[in-house]
Amino acid sequence: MIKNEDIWDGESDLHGGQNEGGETEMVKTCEEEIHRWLKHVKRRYIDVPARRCEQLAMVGLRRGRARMKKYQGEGLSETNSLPSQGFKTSVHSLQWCLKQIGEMWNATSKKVITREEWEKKLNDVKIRKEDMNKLVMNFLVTEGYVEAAEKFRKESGTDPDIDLATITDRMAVKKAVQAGNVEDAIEKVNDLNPEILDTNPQLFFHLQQQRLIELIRNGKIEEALEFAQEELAPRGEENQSFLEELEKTVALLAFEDVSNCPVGELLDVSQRLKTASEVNAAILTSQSHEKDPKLPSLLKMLIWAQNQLGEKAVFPRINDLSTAKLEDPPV
Amino acid sequence: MDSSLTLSLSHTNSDTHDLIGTYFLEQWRLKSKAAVRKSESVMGVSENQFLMEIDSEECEEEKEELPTELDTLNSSGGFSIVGSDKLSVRYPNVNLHGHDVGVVQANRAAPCKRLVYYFEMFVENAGTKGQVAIGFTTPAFKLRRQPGWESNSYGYHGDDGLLYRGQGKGEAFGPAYSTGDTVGGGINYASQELFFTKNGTVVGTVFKDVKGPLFPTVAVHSQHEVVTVNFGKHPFVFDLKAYEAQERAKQHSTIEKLSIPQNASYGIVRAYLQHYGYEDTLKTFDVESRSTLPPISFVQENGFAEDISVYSLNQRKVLRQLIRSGQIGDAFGKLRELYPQIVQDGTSAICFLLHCQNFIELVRVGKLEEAVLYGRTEFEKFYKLGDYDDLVKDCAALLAYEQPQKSSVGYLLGDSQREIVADAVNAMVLSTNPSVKDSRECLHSRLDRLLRQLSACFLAKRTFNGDQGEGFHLHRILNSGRKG
Repeated sequence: MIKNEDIWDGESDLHGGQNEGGETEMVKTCEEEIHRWLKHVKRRYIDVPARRCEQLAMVGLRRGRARMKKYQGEGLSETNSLPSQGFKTSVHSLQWCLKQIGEMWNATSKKVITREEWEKKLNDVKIRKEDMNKLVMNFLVTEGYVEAAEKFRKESGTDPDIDLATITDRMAVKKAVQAGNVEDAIEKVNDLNPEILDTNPQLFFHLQQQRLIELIRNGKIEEALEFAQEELAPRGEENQSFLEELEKTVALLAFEDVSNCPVGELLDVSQRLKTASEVNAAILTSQSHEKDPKLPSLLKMLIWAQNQLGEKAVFPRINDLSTAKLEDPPV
Repeated sequence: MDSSLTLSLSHTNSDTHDLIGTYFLEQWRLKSKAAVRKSESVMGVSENQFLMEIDSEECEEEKEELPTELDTLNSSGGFSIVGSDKLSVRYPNVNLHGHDVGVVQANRAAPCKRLVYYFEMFVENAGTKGQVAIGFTTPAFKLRRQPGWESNSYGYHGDDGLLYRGQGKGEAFGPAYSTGDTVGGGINYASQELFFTKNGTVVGTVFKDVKGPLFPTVAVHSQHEVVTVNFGKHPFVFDLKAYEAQERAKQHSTIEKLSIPQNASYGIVRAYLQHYGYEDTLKTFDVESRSTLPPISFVQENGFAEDISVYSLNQRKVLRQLIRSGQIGDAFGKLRELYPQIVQDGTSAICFLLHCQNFIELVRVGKLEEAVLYGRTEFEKFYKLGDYDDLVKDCAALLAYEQPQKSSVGYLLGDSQREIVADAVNAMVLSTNPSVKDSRECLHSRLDRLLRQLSACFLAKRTFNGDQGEGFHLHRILNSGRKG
């Protein structure tokens, strides 16, 4: 409901726009500080406490127990000489002030966390050994180190989050693709769970595409053509992107020296690895398991978190993940 | 814990034994009876139970008191009647005046060390004018005004569906709502936005420019209006879990775009296995990774760190196996034979850990008389030292129960207690390596250091952000993503 103007006491608008310690507040504080400094520069001309060297320059080497000048202005009126001195002092002061402002600005925009403070924070963190063990087990299992996972279960008492037997089957499929035995791989996937390929038309297409690539690689041109027309073309009709990929693959046949043609990368090992990792991911998903290990994501998260904090503060960082060495912030 | 730990960390290499021993004693203390009791007393038992219902794991480290009911002491005088359940509000009068709004805040501010806070309000009766509202207000809010009318307050109003934030006029926002509707108000600390829902759907978001605490607030302003609030005791109409998952996915996709060196994870896992002396796993891991396609070409460029953790790998493996299988006497023997300097000082923390474990193993197999004798001969000197009395008490308490594993000191019989002792011995052996300059290197594996850095970054960032937002919870991350 709109606030009734008759009874509005106007108070809220007086308070309006204020917030509790927001960023605008900080900018305002900074501006105020700078103004204060600038005022200080003007004032400094006459009423700033005189420094020893300036004093000496102005009054010469006067000895004795003379009273120290309290203010610059006093010195000026007393000697009434060296008219440029005051000017020089103010330039000097201004430079000094600008440096102060610069430092202050750095200080307000980024806090510096010293190594000592940071190490205290690191020591306060509680990381459970069991959780680290789980993280390592998750890596072994997801990446398919089945024997190592079994050993780790025994040595650390950590239970894997998946039946280890299923890793063996999954790795067999992955290896078949990596070795170019795509037909074998498809059979194995269907043995594992026929729904995997039924529910992943893209994966199935990529496996068939890989099969075509292997036929071309092995110089079985006739077989390759037949396979492309009978198995792949109908699928291409269902999906525009499949068709494009099919055309690209068939283009391999048009070049004598395939290793040196625009679509030559399809024959590269990396294409096999790509297909293998796709089928690996699909099997993991079908087993209600995440397709990627958690550790790489955590490492990325570390980089992200350091960058995020880096916007607000300067602190010791870990720049090299492989050594995990804490590096002091650049001064 | 902090003071003793930092104190010992500031010592030099001569205090190696103390440093490592003390560190693992602190690891133990985190699980000890005293630690558990302390965390219970901080929360108060009933509150604790309430938190447990919401999410047992998440609240473990960040216990914040949640709004649970409406504040009856500080409500707007005669213009609202809060029900005896402290969860419903009724407007008793015929409204005449803009100052006569019945506004009620929750008993506590919305918790902020999290991703999202959310509560709901059900409009039981929209009364004669339907001037109900839901929103957020600061502690200084005047309790005779609609949320949103005053500065530093936000309100989604039922009669016009407008959003009010600090001005008399509202802005186009969502649909109006009335009798039978459920509306919700939420704070997204990641995006620093407030959002409101109607019947389970988000209707809009607005930037949160107030940095300080915000109280969930509801208002009634015409005759017969009745609303009830739900601070999470009952399931929400809105799917909060899905919303949180969606917000996390947003963050996750930003993070996934970052790149890390290939094989970084591989190297960290390998170093972990080395550090803790999981030698069998390490060997198999190496064999298996050689057969992967493409074979992992892990350059061992980080010589120094590598050397330290390769040191006495086999001996460390054997010691771990002995401790993990409860053969503490044999582990002691092995240490005396191979690393006498570790067990030289019979009153050191490492000896204390081993003696306790031996006692625990005797209790486990039911040799209680033997345990009593063992305790009498070994514990006395530690008890006199005074540093260990809390832990000695925990051990001794095992004798008091017929079924000690079900008692408050049952944690001692768990696998993780053996693990602490095994890890302590492992670190001690590592520190006997003459090339170790600073025994702190022996405490943490690389993985450990990376996770600490990650967690510290999250916490420091939150401190800069007015204590708002999520911490880093490895436990939750480990348990996420498992379907079915």
